[in-house]
Amino acid sequence: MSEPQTKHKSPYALEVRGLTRSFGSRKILSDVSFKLKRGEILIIMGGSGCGKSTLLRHIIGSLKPDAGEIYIDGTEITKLNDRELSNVRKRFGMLFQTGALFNSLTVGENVALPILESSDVSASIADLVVKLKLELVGLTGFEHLKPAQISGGMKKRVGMARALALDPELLFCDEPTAGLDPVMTAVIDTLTVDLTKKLGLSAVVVTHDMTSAFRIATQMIFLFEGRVIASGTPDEIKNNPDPILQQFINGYADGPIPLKLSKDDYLKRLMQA
Amino acid sequence: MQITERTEDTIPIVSITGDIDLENSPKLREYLKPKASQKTPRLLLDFTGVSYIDSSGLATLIEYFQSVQGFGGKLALASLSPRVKNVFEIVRLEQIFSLHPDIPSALAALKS
Amino acid sequence: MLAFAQLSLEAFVGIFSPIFGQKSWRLSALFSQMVNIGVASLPTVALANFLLGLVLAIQGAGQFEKLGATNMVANLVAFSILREIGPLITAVIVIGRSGSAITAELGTMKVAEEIEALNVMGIDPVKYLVVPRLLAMLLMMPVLTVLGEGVGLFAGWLISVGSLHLDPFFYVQNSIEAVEQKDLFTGLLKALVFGGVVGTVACFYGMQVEGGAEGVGRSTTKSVVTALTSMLAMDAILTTLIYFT
Repeated sequence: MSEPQTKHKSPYALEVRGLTRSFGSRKILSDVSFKLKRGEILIIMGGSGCGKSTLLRHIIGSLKPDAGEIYIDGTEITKLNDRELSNVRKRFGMLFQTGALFNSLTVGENVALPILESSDVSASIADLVVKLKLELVGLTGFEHLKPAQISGGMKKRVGMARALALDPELLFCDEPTAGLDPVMTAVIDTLTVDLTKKLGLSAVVVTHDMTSAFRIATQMIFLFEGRVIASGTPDEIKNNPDPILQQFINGYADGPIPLKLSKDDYLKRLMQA
Repeated sequence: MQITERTEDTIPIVSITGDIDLENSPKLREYLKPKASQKTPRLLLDFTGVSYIDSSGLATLIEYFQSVQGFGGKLALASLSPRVKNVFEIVRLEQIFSLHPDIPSALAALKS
Repeated sequence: MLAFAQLSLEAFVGIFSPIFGQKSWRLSALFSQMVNIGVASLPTVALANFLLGLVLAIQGAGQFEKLGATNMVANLVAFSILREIGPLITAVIVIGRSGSAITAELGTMKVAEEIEALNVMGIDPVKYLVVPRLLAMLLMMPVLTVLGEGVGLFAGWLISVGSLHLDPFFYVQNSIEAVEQKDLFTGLLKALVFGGVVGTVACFYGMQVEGGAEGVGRSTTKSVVTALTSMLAMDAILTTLIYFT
């Protein structure tokens, strides 16, 4: 945590090499590799079930890969034990898809939890940090509410405040803007960009919100059936002729991305019965 | 983190060297507490040697700032690196704290 | 089974680690769990013990009447409640009321990614969630048992005095003579062991939940059944060890 400018072992905040993982006979991730430079925002795109959430779970150390390596600031994390992993984890924040707030704690206690658990700072200092973080996500004055009393979008913003509680160097967001209105989406996007530009934070954002993705990305990768089929800057991705990618970023219903059953199959089945 | 103090024109100048992070901010808090209880009227914090400050460091400064409001105590911060200044600006604290590029300008502000 | 042993070991290490100078227990979490487990179960525990005290006295009276020894009802009620019925019925109620609640609560947290969130924040879910629950279980089970036993004994007295017309003071004296200190302590030992069994089983099944709300329901059922059978097995083992050797 201290001297993040000088203590860095690697110019890359995150590097994934040849990550492969199967569940049973289904290959969820195959040979996924990418790098994220410090202070940049990497967007991981892909349709539902393409493996992007599984990829994120590997990066945060919740799942172990069958093969491949994950380097967080130069430290390979797939072979760390629980205690070593927990030390690496203190340097990053994670925003879960549903916010993952603790329902028995108030909003303020949720944000204060990582601070009080990982240090000896007093409760009054933690309270002030909570106020700073809630202001960042536009929720000043919501400290005393319980998660059950606020909307899904607000929960996600509290989740963001909690992810930022320890001033992480690396931020992971799983669908940060799903369920937020366009204005709040813009607020969260601006915040993410501000944090990277002003504080040198690096972020990995999993999303299929294309407006938001192209607004904040400095790097993008596109996952399809567990493989990286395109990667590059937002401009490179926009101009990439790959039909699968173009169908996805433009949101066309017709294209090479297969639905579960093709039209013919459906009609055949319908008439056979 | 190291803290040294000298006095110039009856104004105590506290120089901080190192990172004000989760580990060190309690030390700064202990240092500032007696300053508040002794009702130090004017205090200058010299940030020349500070390369990093986190939210707990900001909170420590906010707490001191709150506690001197009662007796109208003044606080000025001098020589913040651009990165440290950004930490203040991202939560709009530059509007509350008096931030100065160098010690003489901070001293002048405290005397006015 | 291995996973269960590992969780139990970690949880018990977590309970004793503050004694060896590590970070202290989360007292507020412990207290709220003690309220959850203890205070919330108390009315049902009292009711169940009261009813069983009544039933024991009535059943006993029927048998002892044939022998012309109705005043033996006091002996029967006192030692069956202290040795066996009190700890047993209290544990059954706590399993149904609090054990299931613990599994469902932890399971819901697991499904909502909250346990993973703890891990990512570098907070050990066993220390943060399991230890306060298990410790509260270990503390509250004996307390509930003693209170329940008191209510059960009172119910026996009430029937005997009210409807069998036994002398109220003679009944109490008989009860006291019928039991030894050992009976009280073995009852408490059983309660403590049951607390440990129920606490570890309930937490284990909670942390195991996979697959949404349906998974929570499945695990809760498994937790209740496993807790009941293991509690009864421990009861048989303890009774054999204490009274058969």
